[in-house]
Amino acid sequence: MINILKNVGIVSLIVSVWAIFSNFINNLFIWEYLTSFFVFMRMLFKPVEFLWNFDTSIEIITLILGILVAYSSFQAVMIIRNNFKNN
Amino acid sequence: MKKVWIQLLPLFAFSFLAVLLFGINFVKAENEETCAFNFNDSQSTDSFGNELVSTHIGFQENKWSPYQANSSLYHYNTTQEWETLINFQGGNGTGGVSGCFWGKQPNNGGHLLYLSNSDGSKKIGIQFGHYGTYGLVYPYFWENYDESLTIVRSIQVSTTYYNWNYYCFSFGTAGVYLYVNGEEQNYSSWSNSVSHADYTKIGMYGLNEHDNEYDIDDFVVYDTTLTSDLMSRYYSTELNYTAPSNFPVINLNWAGYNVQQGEIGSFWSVPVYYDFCSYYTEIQTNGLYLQMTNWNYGIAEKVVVEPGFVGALNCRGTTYLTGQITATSTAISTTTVIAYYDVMGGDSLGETSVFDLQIKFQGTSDNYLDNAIVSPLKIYQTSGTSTLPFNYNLTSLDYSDGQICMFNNDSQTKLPYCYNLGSTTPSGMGYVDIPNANNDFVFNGKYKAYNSNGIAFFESEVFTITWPNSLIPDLSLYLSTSTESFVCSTDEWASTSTYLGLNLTLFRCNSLKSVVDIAERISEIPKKFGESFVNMVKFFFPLNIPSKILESWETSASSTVPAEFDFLDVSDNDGQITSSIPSTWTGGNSTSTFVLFGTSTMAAGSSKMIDFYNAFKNFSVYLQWFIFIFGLIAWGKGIYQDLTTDIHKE
Repeated sequence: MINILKNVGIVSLIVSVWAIFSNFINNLFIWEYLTSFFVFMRMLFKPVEFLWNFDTSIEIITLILGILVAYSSFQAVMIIRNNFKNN
Repeated sequence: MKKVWIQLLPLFAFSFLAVLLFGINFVKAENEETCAFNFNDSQSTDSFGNELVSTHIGFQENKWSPYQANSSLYHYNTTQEWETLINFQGGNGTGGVSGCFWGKQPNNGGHLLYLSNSDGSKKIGIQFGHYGTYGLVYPYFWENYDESLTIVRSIQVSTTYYNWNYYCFSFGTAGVYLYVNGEEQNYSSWSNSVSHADYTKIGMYGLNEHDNEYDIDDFVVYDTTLTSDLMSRYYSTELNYTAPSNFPVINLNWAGYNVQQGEIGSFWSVPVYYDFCSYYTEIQTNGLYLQMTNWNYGIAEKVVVEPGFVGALNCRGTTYLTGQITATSTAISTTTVIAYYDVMGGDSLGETSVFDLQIKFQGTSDNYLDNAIVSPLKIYQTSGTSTLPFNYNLTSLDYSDGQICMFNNDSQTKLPYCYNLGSTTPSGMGYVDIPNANNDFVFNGKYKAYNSNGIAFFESEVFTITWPNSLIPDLSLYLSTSTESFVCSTDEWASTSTYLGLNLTLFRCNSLKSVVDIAERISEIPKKFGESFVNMVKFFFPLNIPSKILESWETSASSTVPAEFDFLDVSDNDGQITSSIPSTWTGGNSTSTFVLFGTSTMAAGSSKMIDFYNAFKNFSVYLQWFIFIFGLIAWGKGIYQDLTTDIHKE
């Protein structure tokens, strides 16, 4: 029982710290920089835009990253599960 | 377990990258104080019929002082937009300013009002105009006097504040007359005390001989001499101005719907744009009144500025004349909005152009014009047309022989895709066909009902349609339209006919609707699961980066970067990279430009090649999704093997 409580506490602590860190980043990060970065990318892509659809490229990249996030989240759940199981 | 951490590596990489990109700008720019000044360039003649060579630009008192750091001098440019000329970075006005400051009217006769200190750095911490006075009025010159008049000024530092004490004038064209404070100036009485290296067309120097605050506050240059009576009328009331009768001193513009409607008790409004910045002090002292003329359907007037108004005043803006609908009859009149000075109905100061206004009664909930689609609608067809339905009921309005047309809300233009209302059908379901876009395109529109005279009298809410140029259709998009209108028409839903006591039409519609609704619910399960997951993880950095990437990419299509980065934009608007050879190299008369890379070189003017590139671009969409799907299968296979290996180990 103590081990379970200890594990719950550790997970809660990690998630809390992560949430605080995320809140800090999300509020202070200047996301407009990302937009400016893509404006630059569009400048670079423009000469070959008549040959290639870059909207689809970005969409697919986003999907791949999203899948990575989903899979990583699944792995994280598995780690927690194993941790509980081993203790 | 080791592989699990390898799988997590991208996350750590993202975190690292994000921290690298992380630029925190804690220092926000101080709010800039703006410097208001009188401006009026709309007059070519004054109220007495004399041609004005100049109009006035001056600074309002108490609107800018040297004690406000980071102030700016603004200028109203030829495209009628405010433009920052100088950012004053002076501190508290107690130091950093000495010597002369020079301003020069540009030779191109543009609307430039430029001031800088002697070394050209834009750090001026002075007060324009004389402290506590009416304000300094700047000469302003019409374009036909290009290069004819150059002005150079200097200022002298006083112990407490900075006054404009010295003025230099140069007239390159004969036949103009300078008036200062209501007096034609005798050039010979002015001493040549100030000079400047750029000042080549010397015609006259002027030194303000009187060193008091109220000395010079108005310049006017005419192409004719003025009678003493006119001079007196112009200048004797400098600090106690009284507007002559019928003298249009303010600019008024009306902009609004010609036809408005509402229920009994609701309000209508007529927006009016006003600009009395040229007569700021007078209006502030005596007030400004607006009233609609020839309007007998209730009170339509407003006091824009109360007489004796104290404090800062916005001399340019929009206000509304409002009224209340009190009867079911239509109020209609040809009218104008007129501005008065001192009292409602007093001296006219300005008037809008004539417009027709109709105020119509609208029965409670009688009329509607609704989209039968849920915004945003995504259309995946890249050619042909799409049929967009809408529901309407215009029973209590004048719909006869009118049309309901698509309206582009971005460009504020009526589009030629219309549905004719006829004269006998005040309600029902209509539709318009609009052409599809063959590339990524977003359209914000609404429906507008126009009467037989082409005047809009009713409109729908704004909705969005996108042509995402993507291959993944979203089933929910088809189902997200109103399922009622999807399965049966309005007439069918309103059917009252029965057979053996059963309304079979309604039974069929309800059955179909149930099937479609169930299908919609089922299709929403994975979608809602996905949305829940995204909502859960998007708060946690860096898991939210993928969504931010897509968002930023879409935003970047309509974003700009500072001009300093323009050099990165190597291609022109058509995506072509060009190079220029100076005429001195080729011996020709003009610079030669040739395309290094772009469609014109790749296609060499061949329409077939252009078609091929368009086809290849479309093919690239299929190709990318094809690679992605096969990559996904291989990836999934690898993950499955990892998982099963882990499970076996356990």
